[in-house]
Amino acid sequence: MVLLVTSDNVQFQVDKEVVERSVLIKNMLEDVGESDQSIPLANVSSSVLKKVIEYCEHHRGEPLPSADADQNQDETRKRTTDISEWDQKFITVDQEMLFEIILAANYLDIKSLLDVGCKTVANMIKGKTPEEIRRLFNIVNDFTPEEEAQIKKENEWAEDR
Amino acid sequence: MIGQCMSMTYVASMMQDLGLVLSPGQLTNNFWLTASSITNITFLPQMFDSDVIFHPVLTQEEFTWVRKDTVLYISTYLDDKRCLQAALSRLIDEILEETDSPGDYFEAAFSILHCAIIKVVKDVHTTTFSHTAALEFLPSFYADSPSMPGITALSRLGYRIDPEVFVRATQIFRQPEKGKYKKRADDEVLAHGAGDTSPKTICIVLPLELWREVALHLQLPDLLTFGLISKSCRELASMVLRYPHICGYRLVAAAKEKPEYLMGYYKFLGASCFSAERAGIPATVLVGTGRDGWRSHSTIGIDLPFYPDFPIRVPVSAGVQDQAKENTLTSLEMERKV
Repeated sequence: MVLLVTSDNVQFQVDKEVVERSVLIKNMLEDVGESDQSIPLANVSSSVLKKVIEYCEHHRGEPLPSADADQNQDETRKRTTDISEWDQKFITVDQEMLFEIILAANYLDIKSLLDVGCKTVANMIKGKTPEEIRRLFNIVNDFTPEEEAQIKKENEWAEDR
Repeated sequence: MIGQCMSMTYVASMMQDLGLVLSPGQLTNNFWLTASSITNITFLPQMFDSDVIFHPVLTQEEFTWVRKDTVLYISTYLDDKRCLQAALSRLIDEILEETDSPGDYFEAAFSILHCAIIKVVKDVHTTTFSHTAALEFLPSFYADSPSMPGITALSRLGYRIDPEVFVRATQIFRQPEKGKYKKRADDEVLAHGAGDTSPKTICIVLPLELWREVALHLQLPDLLTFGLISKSCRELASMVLRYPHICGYRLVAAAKEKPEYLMGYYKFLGASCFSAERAGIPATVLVGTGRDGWRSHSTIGIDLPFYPDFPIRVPVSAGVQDQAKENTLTSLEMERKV
């Protein structure tokens, strides 16, 4: 078992096989060797780590992307396919949690979870207008008025979709 | 694409005739359009996502500025040292005369059979240049691969970062002749996942590299919408748009090994196999040929300005990459106007 400590100081005892889906933790364990020391995860809160562990538990035993594929993101992506039914249910969370999961997956280097998160955000963008997307994700429109006028022209086709 | 052109009799004969024109001054409008269209397509966003791809109409001029920093010159007999030197000299003069601002400029001299690339570095006081030799462009009709040094050089020049790629892409995508974007039959199938969640405003900000990951999962129309959100989003969309898009698939690499079924009669010149993605789903895309058992056949038409009524029709097949799913292919059905 491996002891993980979150940013809000909550401890989680997790199976080594489960936690090693995170490349970051796997590498840490390999560097440290056999040890009872806890692993601090300063960038992950307990509520998010709980979700991440749930994901890793479910996908326990599935093959991890190879070291070769790690060097090439496109190659890595080849190993995943569509979002499975379980993953869809798992990722049906509010946006704040979705973004937290994506950030945690990126920090912990769990490629498949990062992929599921990014696909979900992409699906939320699908078919929306730029203004709807800005509102949805709280993105600031930083175009100048001149650029904005040009965008209106470029945007004509999108508005009629 | 060049291989496809070569497989069409009227284009192939024009290409051969072009090799016989003695000097650039003798180029007829059709010859000039043939040469400049083949070259110009390299500098446009590689979006072959519709029934017929219309490209900007070119008018015959000695020099064509295909980008703000790139100029094209249609020439003849570049394999002859004096002809090459003459072409280089004219191109460098054009840069000196037409541009005041310092910077790096690129020039392509093109004669169908050969091409040469020139880089001109202009600063306040001096101008320096370097150039390639005349590189063979047109493959032999008996070649077993369309890969040629001239094609590679021109493609690399076209692949350079183009600050205007997004605007050019939207222009091509929403051409009035084509009407509005038509949803593909499998758009809905690909629309999986959580869908919309609560409209609550969120405070967490994803870093740009993660928005890039998201952008890689977007289909072309949504990617273009994404680029209209903010400057950063436009930069990310532009980066994805540098990849060629064919029938909704983003080509990410040439297949490492050429499949056996591409080695048949003449297929090796006009067809190729690519690793691709669509909405994050990996696929194999065959361009220039169909494949038995792959039901996702489609055709893209590329208009040729010199033969507007006869676009090149290029068959495209796609299948998901997972071997277990090879027979459950995504559909590429499109209404065909061609």
